[in-house]
Amino acid sequence: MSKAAVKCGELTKSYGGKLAVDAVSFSVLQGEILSIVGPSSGGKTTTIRMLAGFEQPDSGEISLQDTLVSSSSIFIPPERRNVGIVFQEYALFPNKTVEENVAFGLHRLQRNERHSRLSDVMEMVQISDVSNSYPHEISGGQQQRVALARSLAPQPDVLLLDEPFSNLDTGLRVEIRNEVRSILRETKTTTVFVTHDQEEAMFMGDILAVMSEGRIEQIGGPAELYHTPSTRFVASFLGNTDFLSGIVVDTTVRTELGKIPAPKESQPGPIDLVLRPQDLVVGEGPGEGTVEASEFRGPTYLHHIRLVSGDKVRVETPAYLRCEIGDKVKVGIGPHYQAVGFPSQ
Amino acid sequence: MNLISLISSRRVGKPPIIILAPAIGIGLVMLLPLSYLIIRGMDASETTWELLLKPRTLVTLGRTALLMFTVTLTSVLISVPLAWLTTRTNLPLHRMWSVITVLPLVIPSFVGGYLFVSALGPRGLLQQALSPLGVDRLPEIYGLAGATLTLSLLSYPYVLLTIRGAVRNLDPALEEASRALGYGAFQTFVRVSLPQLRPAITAGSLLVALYTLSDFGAVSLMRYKTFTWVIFQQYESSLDRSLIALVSLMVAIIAISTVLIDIYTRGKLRYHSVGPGTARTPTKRNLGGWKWPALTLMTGIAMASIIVPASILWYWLVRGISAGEPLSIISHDTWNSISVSMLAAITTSILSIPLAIMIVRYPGRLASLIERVSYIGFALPGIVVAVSLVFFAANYAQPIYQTMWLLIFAYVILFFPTALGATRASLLQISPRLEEAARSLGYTSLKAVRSVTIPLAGPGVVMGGSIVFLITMKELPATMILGSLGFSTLATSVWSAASEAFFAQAALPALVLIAVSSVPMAVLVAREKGDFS
Repeated sequence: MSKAAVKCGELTKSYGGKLAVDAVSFSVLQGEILSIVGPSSGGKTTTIRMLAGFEQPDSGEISLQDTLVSSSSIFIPPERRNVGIVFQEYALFPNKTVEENVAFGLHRLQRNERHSRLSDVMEMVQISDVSNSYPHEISGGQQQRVALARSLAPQPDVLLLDEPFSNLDTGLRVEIRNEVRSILRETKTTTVFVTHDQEEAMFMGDILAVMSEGRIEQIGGPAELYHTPSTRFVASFLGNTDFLSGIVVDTTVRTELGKIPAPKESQPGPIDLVLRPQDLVVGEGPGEGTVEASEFRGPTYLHHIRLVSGDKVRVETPAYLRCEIGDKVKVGIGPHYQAVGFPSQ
Repeated sequence: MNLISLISSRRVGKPPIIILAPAIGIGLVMLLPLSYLIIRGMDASETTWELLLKPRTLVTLGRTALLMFTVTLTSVLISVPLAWLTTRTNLPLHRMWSVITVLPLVIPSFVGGYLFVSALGPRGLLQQALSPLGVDRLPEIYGLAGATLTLSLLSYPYVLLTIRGAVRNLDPALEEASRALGYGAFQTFVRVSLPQLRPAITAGSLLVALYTLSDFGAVSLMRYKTFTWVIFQQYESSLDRSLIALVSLMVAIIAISTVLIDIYTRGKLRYHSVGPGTARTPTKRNLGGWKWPALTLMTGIAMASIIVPASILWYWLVRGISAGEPLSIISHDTWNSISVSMLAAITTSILSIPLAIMIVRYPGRLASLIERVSYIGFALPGIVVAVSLVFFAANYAQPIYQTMWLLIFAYVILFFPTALGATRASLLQISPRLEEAARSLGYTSLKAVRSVTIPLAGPGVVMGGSIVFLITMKELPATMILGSLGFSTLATSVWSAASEAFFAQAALPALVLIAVSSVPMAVLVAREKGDFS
């Protein structure tokens, strides 16, 4: 049975009186990937820098593999934590070759052991062919692979990834992150992954934590967070979310787009429903609105529609469904929508 | 509080003792010359104060300030067009010109002074050449004119180099914006480019002003009696040490206020371009018909600052060798010069590392305080530091008094800021993420510094060391005062021959001195070119 490889309790850190991380607690099971996502300066990077031992928490505890590494009385320095880290800017040693970079953390191994580990890792991330090049001679994607190989080489208990894909082009980013994910799966590496890109976070993580202003808003499976956000912030951060006002009466919600079953345990009274562009349809339905903008996205359109009430929603449609700006269209809620909402403020 | 919590309560942001202790030590050492002068100055009797406050002192002050002004102004006037021509126009052979225009830096001021005096003096080489035409006396070169001429031609590269650095960092988009808004090329230069170069011009001017204030060789040979000359005369003749201390303190005050004025005028304005957008390589202006005047200007400066002095040196060299000047003393002097300069360069560079690490990795009030204190060495003239250390060592450090170590100690104080600047700059290039990567891979913080930071910073530290080597080779007054009896270097040999007007005898040591200091100079020039690509 799997145990917690990373455990944080009430981690708190402030800089010059400003709280950067505010009582953050979570645990990651052996071999699991945790994605931490949130807007920039939300405390994500500070959190993993505390895990790595580059920052000392003001209070709270960190355990790695059931060993306490940080508390009010203990602070284990980074070199004794067996934690790997990939930085946003990779931080490859510019005066060392690719091979020397990857071998850098293997200084405690025997000679032949070091050699076989080195070639294994280089093969796994497919950089054997550039082993004698210097970091500035290889492409961004390859640099990213070298950084990953260097951090994986000493077989860390925990791998920390700090926005590792943000310096890559869009196309390459998708390719590399697929690869990284399968390598982490294969090696069963416990990973904490930090990003500001919600799509990337949901793709990479077995579990997902949404962080804002130093606090974890919600933590759980990516689908769970997407479909049943527990706070307004999580709801609006994941997906292109719009809020539609309605009124809960008994077990239904009345909205200008029709009546639908109310969310479980909702109080009677005004509610703001969480709606993603995929939850709505154009061309049929009880509601009506005016098209204010249409973003062409290749396979789909994203229409921005101002409803009669003044609420604004975005609707995704197949690309053959064109609308002109100013068109009056019918709008409705799709049949598969599971209502989620928050009492109106 | 138990031991564990004592150890672990250390903040990641505090420097370890192995960095902190030497950094604070350096700060205290840098304070030594000035504080000891103050202590000695307080001993001054009433007669000493009377001597100090005579109108003669005021005249010296006026002379010193006037020379600082004329040399700085002349250097700026030479440098601005030269910098612009070599970086932003299609001047023919601009690479060659960029090298030639920094070459005067290898000529020590006392060598320059000696060459100009021997050539342009009332009965110098020029007069001898003109005597068939009935010229039997040239107008006096001694005094303000000669000192200004010598010092400007030797020190303008300090301004030129800082301006050239700044010109390269100018965002051409700003100039293009100005042109697009309807300003002509000249208007754009005056309204947009020149204001942006102001910090560089000020910084370069500061270097030249301090160079002038601390110069001893050129002003003495040109018989222009500034403070350094006065201090040296008093040191040689007078027994009233508190008077020397007071005069030295006055010079120190001038030096430090010059630096403060510079900091004050620079501190308020921001010149870097605001907003995103990276600077492109600027396009070079076509000189067109202005090519010939530009080339004439370049040639004129090169002639006056390098070619003519080199030819005079050559002339004296040939005359000296044919007159049978002994060569054996030279090898001895050369060895002395190289070994003390090497020692100074190595010691200073190594000592700069802890403080540089502290400034870059653990910035805070203490770090910036020590950094500022260390710039005292940069401001104080060599003769002031030397005088203070002689008095100090005679009383409190007898074992090193009259030894080479006291001399090295003075060099460290004088040239520490130079080494610190280079070391700090190279550390700034190294992302702290690199050290963190090493630590996450199992290296302790000291091992991370040793295996990652130092190899990467190495070239920059060596650069700083080679500049220190270059300026130590050229140093004269401190070497004369602090060198033990009978200790001679290339610099002191040139000086003793030239000050007695044995021009032929001075030629060989001067040439060797220039040749040896050209080695680090060549590295510097190559490096500057490297930055350009």
